[in-house]
Amino acid sequence: VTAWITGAARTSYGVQPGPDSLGWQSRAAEAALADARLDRGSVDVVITGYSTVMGHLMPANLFAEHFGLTPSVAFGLSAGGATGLAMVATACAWVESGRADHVLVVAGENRASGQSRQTSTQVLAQVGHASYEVPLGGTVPAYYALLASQYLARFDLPDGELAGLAVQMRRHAALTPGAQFVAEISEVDVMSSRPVAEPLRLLDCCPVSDGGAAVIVSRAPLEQSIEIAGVGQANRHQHLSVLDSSASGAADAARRATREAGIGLREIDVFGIYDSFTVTVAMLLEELGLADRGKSGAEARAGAFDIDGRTPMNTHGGLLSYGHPGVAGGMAHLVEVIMQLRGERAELQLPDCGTGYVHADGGVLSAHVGLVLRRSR
Amino acid sequence: MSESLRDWTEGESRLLLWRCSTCAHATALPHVGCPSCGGTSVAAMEAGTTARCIARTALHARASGSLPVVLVLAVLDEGVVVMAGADADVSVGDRVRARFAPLGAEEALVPVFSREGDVPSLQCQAIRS
Repeated sequence: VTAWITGAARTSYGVQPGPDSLGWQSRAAEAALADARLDRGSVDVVITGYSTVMGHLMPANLFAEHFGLTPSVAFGLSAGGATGLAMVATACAWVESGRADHVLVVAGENRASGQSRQTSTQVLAQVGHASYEVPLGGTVPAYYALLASQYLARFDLPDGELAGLAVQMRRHAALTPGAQFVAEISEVDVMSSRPVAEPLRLLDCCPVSDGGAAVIVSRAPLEQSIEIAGVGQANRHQHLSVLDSSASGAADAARRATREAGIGLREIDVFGIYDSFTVTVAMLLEELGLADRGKSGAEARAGAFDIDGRTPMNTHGGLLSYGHPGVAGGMAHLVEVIMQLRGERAELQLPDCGTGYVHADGGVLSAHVGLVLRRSR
Repeated sequence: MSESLRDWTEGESRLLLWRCSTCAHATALPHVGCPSCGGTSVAAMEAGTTARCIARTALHARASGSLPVVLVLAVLDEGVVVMAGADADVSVGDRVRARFAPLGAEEALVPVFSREGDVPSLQCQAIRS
C-alpha cells in the first residue's frame, strides 16, 4: 500500500445533546483537516459512514454540501461496525490508483441524544435475519450473548470470566480526554451490573454515544503522516446462524493486512481491537492469535493488554469506555493508534511505538477489516 | 426448490434447511449459492425437530410483544445451527425438541425448544412489553 493518514481527529464521546449527525461530522472533519493543515479545497473524495439517526440515501453529498465541499467523488459506505475501517481501505484504493490526492473519511451521529434507546436497539437488531432471527425478538446484545454463552461453555469458564476486559478498557479511558466513562470499575462491579442478555451484563456492553471522527487519507505524506502499510478484509457471512465462531473471517483479514505490510502480528507495538462487547474483543483477540483460546479474560486480568503489557490494546478505552456513536466508534481506535504512533498520548504513551494494528468487525463478527499502520522513519 | 415446502416463517409448523446438492454443505437460512463450493444447486428440505442446545441467553432488555425470554442456538441432528426461543429451563448441552407457538405482537409462529422428554408446557415462557 502507498497511502498515508495525514490528518486524524475524534471528538469527545458521550451523551452530548446539541449537534445533529451533520454537526458531529463537521466538527470531526474540521479537526482532521486542521490536523493535516489542509484546506477544504484539497479534498477530492468524500466518503461518509451512515448515521442511524439521520438515515439518508446520499449521506456523503449531504455532508459535502453542509460542510462546504465540492468533491469530484462522494459516496456513503455501509458495513456495520467495520464501516470506518472499510472507508479507509476504500480511500487507500482511491489514492493508490492516482485518482485522488486527498480523501476525507468522516462519520458521526447523535445516536445517544437524537433517538430513543428503543429505536436504537431496533435499528441495530436488523443485522439479524429479517425472517429467521429478528422475529424471535433478539437484539444485538442477545446475538453477542449467544456467542458469549457458547464461548463460556466451550472453554468451561464461569460467567464473569470476561469482566477483566471491561476493567482494563476503563483504566485506559480514565486517562483519556473525551472518554464517556472514566470512573474506575472492578470485576465485581462488572459482575454485579444489571443483566442485559445473560451472560452479558451492562458493563460487558458498550454504551450508545454522540460524537464523530474523521481521517484524511493521502497519496503522499505530509508532516507527521502515518503510513497505511497493509489492508486486509474478509466477509464470510452475515448472520449469527451461519457464523463459524472459530473462523469468523477475523484471521483472514489480519493475514491479508500483515502479509501486505510484511510484518507479523506479534511484532506490532499497539493494537486497536473492536470491542462492542467483552465477548467481541475476546473472540477477536483469540482468532487473531493475540491470546490463547479461552484465555482473553485471564490475560486481561493479568495485565496483558495494559500499556506495559505484552499486547497493549485500546489505550483510549475502546467502545466499552471511550464510547460508541456508531461508525465513528470504530474509528476512535484508529485515531488512537495514530496518536500513539505520533507520540501524542501523554501519560498513556507507549515508548518506542512504531507499528499499530487496528481491527473492526460489523454485524455479528460478519464484516472484518484490519489495517497495519507504521510510523515513517 | 419445492414450491410447497413452507416453514414457520410462513405459518407452517416445520423447520427447513438448505443443502447444497454438490458438496452437502447446509445451513438453516435460505440461500441460492453455496458458500463452500460455489454450487448453485441448493435445495430446501424438511429438517427434524430434535437438536442439542449450544448457546443460551435470557433477555432482560425486552423487545415489544410477548416473545420468548430465552433464546438459544441449537444444532439440529442434521448438523445445522438454528436460532430459536426456548423454555426457561433449557441449558447449554441439553437435548431439545422444537415446537411452534404463536407469539409476539402479530402472534406469528416461532420455534421454541423444550428439553427432550419434557412435556411441552401449554403456556410457554413469555414476556410482555
